[in-house]
Amino acid sequence: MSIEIHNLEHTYNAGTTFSHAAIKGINLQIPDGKVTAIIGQTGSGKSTLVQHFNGLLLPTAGSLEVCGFHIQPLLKIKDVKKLRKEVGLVFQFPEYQLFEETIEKDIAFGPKNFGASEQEAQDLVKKILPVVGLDESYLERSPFELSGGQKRRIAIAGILVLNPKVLVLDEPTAGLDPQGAKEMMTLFMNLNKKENKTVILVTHDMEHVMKYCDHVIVMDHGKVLHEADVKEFFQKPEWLLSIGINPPSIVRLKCMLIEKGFEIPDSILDEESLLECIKGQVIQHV
Amino acid sequence: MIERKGSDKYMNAIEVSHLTFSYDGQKDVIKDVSFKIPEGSYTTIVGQNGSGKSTIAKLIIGLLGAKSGNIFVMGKELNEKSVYDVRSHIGIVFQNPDNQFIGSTVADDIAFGLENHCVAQEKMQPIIEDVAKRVGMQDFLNSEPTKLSGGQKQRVAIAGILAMEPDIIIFDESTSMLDPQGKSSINKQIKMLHEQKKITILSITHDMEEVAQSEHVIVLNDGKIKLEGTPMEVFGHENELKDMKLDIPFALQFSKKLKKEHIVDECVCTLEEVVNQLCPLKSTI
Amino acid sequence: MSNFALGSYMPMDSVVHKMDPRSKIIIMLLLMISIFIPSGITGYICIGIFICFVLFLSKLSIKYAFRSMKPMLFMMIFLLVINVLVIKTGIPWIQWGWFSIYSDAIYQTLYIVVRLLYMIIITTILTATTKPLDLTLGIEKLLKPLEKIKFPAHIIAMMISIALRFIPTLIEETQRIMNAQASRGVDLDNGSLKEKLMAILSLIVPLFISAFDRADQLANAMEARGYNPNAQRTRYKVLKMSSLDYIGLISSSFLLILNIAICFVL
Repeated sequence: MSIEIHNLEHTYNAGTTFSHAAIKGINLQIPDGKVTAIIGQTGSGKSTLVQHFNGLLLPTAGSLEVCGFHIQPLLKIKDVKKLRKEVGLVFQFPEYQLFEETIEKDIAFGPKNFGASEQEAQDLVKKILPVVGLDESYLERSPFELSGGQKRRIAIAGILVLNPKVLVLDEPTAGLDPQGAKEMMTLFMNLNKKENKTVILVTHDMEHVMKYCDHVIVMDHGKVLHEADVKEFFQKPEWLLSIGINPPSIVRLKCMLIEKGFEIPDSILDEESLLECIKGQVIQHV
Repeated sequence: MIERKGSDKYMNAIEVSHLTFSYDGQKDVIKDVSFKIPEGSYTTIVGQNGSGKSTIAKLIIGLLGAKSGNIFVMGKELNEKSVYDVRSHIGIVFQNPDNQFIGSTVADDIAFGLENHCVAQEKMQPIIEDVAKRVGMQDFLNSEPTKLSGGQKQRVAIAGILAMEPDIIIFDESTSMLDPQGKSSINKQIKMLHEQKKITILSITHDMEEVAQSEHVIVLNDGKIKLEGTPMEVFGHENELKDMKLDIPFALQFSKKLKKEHIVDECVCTLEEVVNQLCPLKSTI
Repeated sequence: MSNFALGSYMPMDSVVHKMDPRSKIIIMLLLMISIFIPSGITGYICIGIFICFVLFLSKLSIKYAFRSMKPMLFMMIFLLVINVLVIKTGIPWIQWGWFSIYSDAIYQTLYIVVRLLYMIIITTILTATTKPLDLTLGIEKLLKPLEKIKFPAHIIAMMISIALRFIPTLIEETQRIMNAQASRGVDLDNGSLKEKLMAILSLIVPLFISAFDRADQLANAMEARGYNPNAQRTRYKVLKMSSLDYIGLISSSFLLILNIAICFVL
């Protein structure tokens, strides 16, 4: 297990009138080498939770074990800085973290912060560019003259260049067009399959959860509401709707057909088997 | 100049003819685009990021000036003199909910447009309450923007526009930064405005499910119109759409498979229609 | 998530909260002038009673008013030390060899401290009982006559209210960029000067870019909604003076006259 969470609590501005409990006692284990989705409505505590994974936030009570680091309340930045190299955290709209005059310098910023020499950093940058689908011709260009999708690739390269074992992605496809989103997800899946990185995906997009993830964690009001294997997760669509999750199109279609009297087993979640199932229940005109 | 008949029975809410635009004076991002949007219709514009979709919206409300070509809004030609008049006919909801919230509270923000159009102070309160109710924000009139979700802020933006009683509303990727709840609440609003208020809707979107519910689709690629027609007509060109890296909605994909299996005769593009087609065919055994 | 109380406005229900921002601004100015009239101890006691009464009416806690003075404490001590060392007039109260404290030094310091104290309490009452937006509206209305001489009162008020509106948004943004850079190993607390400089740069550049981006989009949104800085506009919020405001204005004018009288008569 790369991440184990024990009785985690986090309260913002504890002890003041602005005090707000965002995480209220969570126990979780996030499997190694898998793609885990963390879902839940806005304000359910997803973003607060993942910021504990690389020590940006420290628990106000409870603890975490992440990649051999023990995270507990009242640690110093020095104690967790090395963890930030092990767990790469990509925030929403990461293109807003770009600041250097060239792409090479911007990507090299992270490694240098963790003590890499100029030469080492440059070598790492050259290695990481093809991973995000860009070539060396980009090195000397300014990150600000690129398109939105390309900027995001550069920003993500700035995290990947640290070679983290765990990759945490907060809504990585927000604002991209469908093609851009698909390419972005393919990139992360390759990192998971080829380099065996643990991927944690915070998302609202159930199509992505169904298509790309292995495991699902549902958060609600600072607690874990449900945890399941992705195959089981979408088998109870009524329950999903009841907790405010809009299931993927195919699940919705299934639901609507069941309502009209079709008999479709829970386990059917792909187009081909749904088609076969329908075929058996309609009068076909030949 | 194109010829326009003054007594056209079917007035076009928006008419764009041979529109060309360039940001830097060299590379054109809109290349000789012409289209007409009939009054009361619901049109979507789709295309990849960078295809020029949002630029067209900014040209129509006169935030950018065309290099050549003409734009007519409600029969009036858009130019430097008519721009304020034209804007009183059109409202636009932009992508980022935060960056279009001008007032310090919901009521102040809705009032912003009224203030600009010199609506008398004593007439404002009833208008504000009415439009806030229409978008379901009547209980938040004194709320500050930081206390609202993205979807709520976009609803306030719609209310601010409704207060001006526009003929046309442009949605410029208004749902792309929202969570699913926000998205569906805005899509419901759009549908309601079109069906009940008969407002002309022009929606720029990536959401193929929304495209399927519109009446007319314009597909933009590299600053040019590539396809135009009803959703079914446009989605019929699957290969061309694929070349432009655009998808077809799931319902249509599935419908095509049903047709291939000879279960249905005709393809449809929404889930409701698929279910409606299948129901009568259900064997009672 | 920020505990930054903007303009430290305290939402409460009091007569001072209900007053027109314009009259509150004028009363504040009248009090400020009174404070600077050298009317001696009698005058200061009169002003003190008046301020205490307003503080009581505003229902703000004394603790809150004094908390806003904390940052000034250092300055007051510094003043005292300077005055004691420099002022050598009046009656020598304490004498240890070469070191002596004269009465005037203490009096001078007390005068300055009391003036500062009064000013801080007055401004605190103003900002704590008036919403920032109402305050800008009040300033705009008071500056309105100056529009005749081409002073852009309404544009300035619009700028202030937009700035106030975006402060929380930009604070949130700063936090997000800080988190993003911290995830790339930025450590603002430790490291060499050069590293710290880079760290600050990595924060400021994205913040500026995003602020300009927002400004651009905001300008578009305002224009699209028919905003024209040179045209006439009506206003949704109107300010109304009540008898309360007149009482406040008259009594503070009276206080000013009283102080002038004390200054000349005594």
